[in-house]
Amino acid sequence: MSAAVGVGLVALQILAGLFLARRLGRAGEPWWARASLAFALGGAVIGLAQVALSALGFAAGLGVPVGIAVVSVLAARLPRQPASTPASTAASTAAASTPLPATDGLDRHARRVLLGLTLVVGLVGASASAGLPFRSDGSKFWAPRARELATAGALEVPALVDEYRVAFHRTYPLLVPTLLAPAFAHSSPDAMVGAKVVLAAYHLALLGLVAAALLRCGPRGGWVLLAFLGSPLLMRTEIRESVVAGGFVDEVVAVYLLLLVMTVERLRGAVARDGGTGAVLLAVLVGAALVATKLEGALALACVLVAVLLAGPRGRGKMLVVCGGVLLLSVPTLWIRGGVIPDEPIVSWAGLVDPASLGARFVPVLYEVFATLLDASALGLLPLLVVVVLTGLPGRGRAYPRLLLLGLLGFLVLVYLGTTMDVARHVHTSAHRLLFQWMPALALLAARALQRAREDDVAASPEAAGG
Amino acid sequence: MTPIRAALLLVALLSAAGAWLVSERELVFEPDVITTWRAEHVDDRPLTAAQESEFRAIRGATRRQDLLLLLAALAVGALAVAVWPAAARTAGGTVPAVLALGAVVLLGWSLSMSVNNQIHRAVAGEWTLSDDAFESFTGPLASLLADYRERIPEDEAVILVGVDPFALNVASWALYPRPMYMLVRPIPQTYTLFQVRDEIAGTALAADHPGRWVVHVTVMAQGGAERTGRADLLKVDE
Repeated sequence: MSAAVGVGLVALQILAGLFLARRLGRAGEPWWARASLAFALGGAVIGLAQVALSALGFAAGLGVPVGIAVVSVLAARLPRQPASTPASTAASTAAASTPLPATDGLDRHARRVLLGLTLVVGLVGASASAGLPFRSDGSKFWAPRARELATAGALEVPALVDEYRVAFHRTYPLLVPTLLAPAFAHSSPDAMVGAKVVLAAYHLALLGLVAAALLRCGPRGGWVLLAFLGSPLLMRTEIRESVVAGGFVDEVVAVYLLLLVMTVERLRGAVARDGGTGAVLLAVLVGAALVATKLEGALALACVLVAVLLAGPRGRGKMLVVCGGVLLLSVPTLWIRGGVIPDEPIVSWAGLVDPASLGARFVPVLYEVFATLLDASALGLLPLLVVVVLTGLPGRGRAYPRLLLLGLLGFLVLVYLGTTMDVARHVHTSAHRLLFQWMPALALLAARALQRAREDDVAASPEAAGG
Repeated sequence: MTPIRAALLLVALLSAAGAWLVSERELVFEPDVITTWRAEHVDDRPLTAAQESEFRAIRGATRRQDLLLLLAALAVGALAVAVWPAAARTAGGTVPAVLALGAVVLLGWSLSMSVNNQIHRAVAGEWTLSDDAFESFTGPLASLLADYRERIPEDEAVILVGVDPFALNVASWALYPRPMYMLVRPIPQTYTLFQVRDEIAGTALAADHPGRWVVHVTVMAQGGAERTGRADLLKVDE
């Protein structure tokens, strides 16, 4: 029964995102890529609405997903205006300048093999995610919070407003718990599978979005996809706190960060018609979902903003508009954060300005952060590939991804310099997850960089020069 | 033989040798320079000696696995590109090709580990899609928690004391919807649950509920009163 509730919620989430995915996504995508996008966008819309209602004192129930799904389906049935199509038909921003030779497409058999591998990784990971019980932070506070939010608004849940109740990380954002609350509300008290099915669907959606995005980058994107699929965190059940291992939100953060980076590429894109109002709206929606999913979501958004601002004039104005929109949609999250019992700080800002503490920690932190790039047990060889491609290859358009990579590494160094825990212990429990949140987005930027390098080679070839 | 192919074969050989050397060790520790630095620059947020010792072993094992997988994958990736140089052209370079082909090793390894683990846990009743995840979630504490559920009415408060992250998590989950409280103040290890109960009885903690119970999660995690001879569950106001 609970599994059926979970499947129903997944279906509602897809339907809720159907309209937006059609209007804001790319045309010509395979069904699984469209379903992945619809699921992610449906989750963003339902989750943000549930968080807003929760801030107003409403329990997170089935009404919101059903209502939004009905509206979305009705809206999707409306005839499309010709003027609204450009955003969806626009080509990849990277493919804007030099057309690649006809032989440069991904071989049909190679594409099938890669899709087959993606499916295997998706199914094995989803099976672990759906069938194994919550562990670590999943059981410690995320799942209990989802169950409590099904009974009352966020500022009325005793665990969030009574300091003596059992509760951890009360200030963490509530998008995912409110999405999963209906699964607990409509399942028997000892059932977890409904909520776990929704998380398993996020796992599949992440793989669907990554595969679609990387395969658009030609054969080189296919190679990056292969490296991505080799990340053990996507399947291994023993890794600390991944969704597959009974954890909770890191893959959801990865989904919205990937969508944000993809959309920002459109905002900065060479194809003017691809970066219109639709792309701004999409960026606002996924940016707000990112902020409402986890604390570091806001820091990831800040990294993207700073990278765009420093990388050049392209997309600067639009990115500021996006941040304004995100701030507006984040008011309920900030409101709830201000109303609950504050947490003990995980990062001490005082520690960041204390010379003795900084001196003691700087070398170990640098070592730990860079050792995480070699964490093959969790992340495979993908971090190495991303770093090599983004820093090693010469060529155009490399400033923005390099700044983003630098921002991520700087963020990790700052967090661990200021941590209130022992450095090595904190890195051990969290760095692989923080890095994984960024891996899909960075893999996409690496694939785009490789594709651009190929275009530059073609443009510089004697045949191209000769006309 | 081209220089690149020779270099790839050398990388494959060195990586394989490195993987073999790592596989011979039980633990791999951080470089001496980092250990020395830590000793000379004492952090103001250190672990206790016991935590340090336990954590050092965990980290050593993790680092060993990371290095072993990294070197094995690099060895296979470099060998594959040496045998199939066309891969480097389509991948956009030798290094991306080595890393992508090396990742295939990790993909196969993760796949087999995950499937194997899921099958074993399904046989043990830990992997389930059923509506009753109580036993798979609470594991060895299932019978104790089932007993607590019978004894504690749903409207009475439960106050958790002691330290054991797993027991704390599963107890707070399994005893829902009973109002769950936590004693924030640290309890001396020499205290019995009776002493803790007597202290709580004089406070207003959770006093607005029809009844209060105190659970010692550390004793619970060790198997409860039957196994340890120490009280694990007491009613506060009798």
